[in-house]
Amino acid sequence: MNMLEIRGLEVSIGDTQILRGVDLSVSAGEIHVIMGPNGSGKSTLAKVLVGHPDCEVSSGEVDYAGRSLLEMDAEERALEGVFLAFQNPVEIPGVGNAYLLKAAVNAMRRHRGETELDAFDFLSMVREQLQQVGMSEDMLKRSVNAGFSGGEKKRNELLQLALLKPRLAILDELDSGLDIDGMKAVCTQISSMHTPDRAMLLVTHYPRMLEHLRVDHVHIMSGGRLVQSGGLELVGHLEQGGYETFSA
Amino acid sequence: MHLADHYEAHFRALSPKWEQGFLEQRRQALQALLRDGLPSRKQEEWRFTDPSPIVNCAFNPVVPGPTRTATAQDAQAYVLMFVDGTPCVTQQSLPEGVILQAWRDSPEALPDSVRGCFDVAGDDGFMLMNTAFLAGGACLYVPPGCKLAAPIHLNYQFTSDASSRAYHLRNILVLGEGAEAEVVEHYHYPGQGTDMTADLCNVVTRVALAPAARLEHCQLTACGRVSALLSLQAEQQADSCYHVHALGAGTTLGRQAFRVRLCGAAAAVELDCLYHLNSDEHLECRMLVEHAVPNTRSLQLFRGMVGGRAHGVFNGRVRIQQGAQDTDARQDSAGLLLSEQARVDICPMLEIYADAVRCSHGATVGHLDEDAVFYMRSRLLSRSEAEALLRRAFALTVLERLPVASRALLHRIGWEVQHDH
Ligand SMILES: Nc1ncnc2c1ncn2[C@@H]1O[C@H](COP(=O)(O)OP(=O)(O)OP(=O)(O)O)[C@@H](O)[C@H]1O
Ligand SMILES: [Mg+2]
Repeated sequence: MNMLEIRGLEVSIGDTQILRGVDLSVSAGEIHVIMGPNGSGKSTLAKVLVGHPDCEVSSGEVDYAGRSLLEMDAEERALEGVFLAFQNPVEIPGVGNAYLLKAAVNAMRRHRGETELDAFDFLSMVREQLQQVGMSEDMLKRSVNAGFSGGEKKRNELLQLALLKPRLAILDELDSGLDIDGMKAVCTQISSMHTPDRAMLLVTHYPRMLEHLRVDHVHIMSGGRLVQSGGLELVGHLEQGGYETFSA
Repeated sequence: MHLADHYEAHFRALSPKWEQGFLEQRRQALQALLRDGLPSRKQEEWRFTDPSPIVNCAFNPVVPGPTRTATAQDAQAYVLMFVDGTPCVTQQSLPEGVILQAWRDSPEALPDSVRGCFDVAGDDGFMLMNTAFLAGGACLYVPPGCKLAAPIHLNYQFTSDASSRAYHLRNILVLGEGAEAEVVEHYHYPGQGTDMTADLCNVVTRVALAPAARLEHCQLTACGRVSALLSLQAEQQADSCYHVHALGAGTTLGRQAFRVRLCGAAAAVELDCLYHLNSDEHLECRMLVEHAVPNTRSLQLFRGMVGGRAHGVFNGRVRIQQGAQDTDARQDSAGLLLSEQARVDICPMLEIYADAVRCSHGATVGHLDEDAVFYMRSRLLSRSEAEALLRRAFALTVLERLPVASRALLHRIGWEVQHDH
C-alpha cells in the first residue's frame, strides 16, 4: 500500500493558485526527488502536506497511511510521523532550542506510549546526534534558530530529523547552504533512515547530493504541476538542457 | 452626600487618632484636595485612564490596627508584612544601622534622611489624598557603605471582605552613599476571580539614592478586582544605579507612574515593566526620566501582554534638560495582543533641550508570530503549548533581568506559577 497518495491537489496562497493539480504516490521504503525551477511550487507542496495555514486546498485529496491527511491538524500530522525540514526555518527568540527539541521528542514518546526522557537522558541522546550533525552543544542553549547562520539553521533541521525519525520525511532544500561536511551529514542521515518502513521526499536544486543516495523516482515540477516523472536519468537531461525542455 | 463632605467628615473623624507630627501636612493636603478636586480625563495626564470610577466612589480610608508580631516565614529575606494595612513585624536581626520599620506619624521616630523624603513632587489629587489620609507603609534606610546580603520583602497582603476601602500607603526607601540593596515591594489581593469591586490601593513610593548607591527594586502587583494607583518618585545622585522591575498581573483599573530624576553625573536608571492583562482590565504605565546633569544614562523597557478586552497603555517620557550633555537615553517598548479585542497604546515622548545626546526608541505592537506557532506545531507541540512558549519568550526580556535573590524570592512566593510568566 502507498504511504502517501496525492490526487489532483490544487492549492492557493492568498488569491493566487500555486498548485494546479498534483498527483503523486509514494510507497514505504522509497526516496522521491522533486526538482523544478524557482517559484514552481515545490515548497508549497511540502508545506501543504504538513498543514501550513497559508495553504488553502481548493480541490484534491491526500491519503497518508490510510488516513485523510488534509483533515488532520498540523501537530497530529507531526505526531503521526510526517516531518518537514523547512527551506527557511523560522527564528524564535526567547524559546530555547533544547527546550523545543526535548518537548518534541517527549511528545513523540508519549504518543508512542514510551516513557518521557528526563533532562539527563535527553542530553545524552542529543549529544550523540549533535556530533553526527556537526553542531556544538552551545547551539542547544540558544534560542531556536535565532541568529543562526544559514547553514546552522539547516543543521538544526537535520538534528530534529535525526531525533524525531519520522516515517515520512519531507526535506525542502536541506542541502542548500550547507558546507561539504554538512552535505555529507545530510546524506549519511538520509541513508541511515532509508529503511523499508520509511519514505522520503527530497526537494533539491543540486544533483550532487543524489549521487550518494538510492533514489527511486525523480519528478519535475513546473507551474504548479509535476510535468515529468522518471528515474535519475531525468537529472542528466536537466544538466544538459535546463528546465526549458520540461515546460508545463 | 457630596464627595468633598464625605472626605472632610472622614478627616474630622480620623484626625483625633493621628499623632501630631504630621497633622499639619495632612491638613494642607486636604485643603488642596478640596479646592482642586480629583483628576479627570480632561487632564492630559489622565487622557488614557479614565479615573471617574475611582473619583465617583466614596471610599472609606482604612485605619491600620496596632502593630502585631508575626513569626518569620522566610529566612532568606528581611520581611515587613502588612495585612490590610496593619503591620506585622517579625523578629529579625538587620545589619547595624539599617532601619526597616512601618510608617509612624511622629517624625522624631524616623531618621533625618528618611524624614526629608515626605514631600512628593506634583500635586495630583490622588497624591494629596495619599498625604491627607496616609495610613501606613514602610521606611527603609540603609546606611553608607552597607551592602544588604538578603532582599527586603515589603509584603502587602489584602484579605477579601472588602467594601469600598481605600488604602493610602507610602514607602520611603533611602540608601546612603555606596549602599546596596534589593527590595521587593509586593501588593497582593486574593484571586483574580473574586469580586472586590470597589477597593482602592493608592501607593506612593519615594526613593533616594546617595552617590554610588545601588538599588534593585521589584514592584509586584497582583491586584485582581481593585483599582490600583502606584506612584514612584526617585532621585539619584552621582554614580548611583537604580533598576526597577515592575511586574503586574491583572488590575481592574490600574495606573503606575514612575518619575526619576538623575541629579548626579554617571547616575543610571533602568525601568523595566511587564504586564499581563486579561478580561476587561486596564493598566497604564507612565514613565518620566529627567536627565538633569551631563553624562547620565536611562533605559525604559516596557512589555505589555494583553488579552480579552483589556487595554494596556505605555506612556514613556524622557526629558533631557539644557546642559545635560552626553546623555544616553533608550526606550524599548512592545505590546503583545492575545485577542482580537485587546488594545495596547504606546506613546513615546522625548523632550530634548541639550545637543550632544544619544537617544533611541523602538516600539512595536503585534500578535503572536503565527509562523513560529506553526513551526512548533510541526515539531509536535500543541497550539496552546506553542502559544505559552511565545508568551513566555515575550516576558523573558524583562524576567531575565531580575536579580538573582529577588528571582528566588518570587519563586518562593509562587509568583511565576501564579501568573504564567
Ligand atoms: N505567502 C505568499 N503570498 C503570495 N505568494 C506566495 C506566497 N508564498 C509563496 N508564494 C508564491 O508561490 C509560488 C511558489 O512558491 P514556492 O515557495 O512553492 O516555490 P518553490 O518551487 O519552492 O521555489 P524555490 O525553488 O525558489 O524554493 C511563488 O511564485 C511564490 O512567490
Ligand atoms: Mg522552495
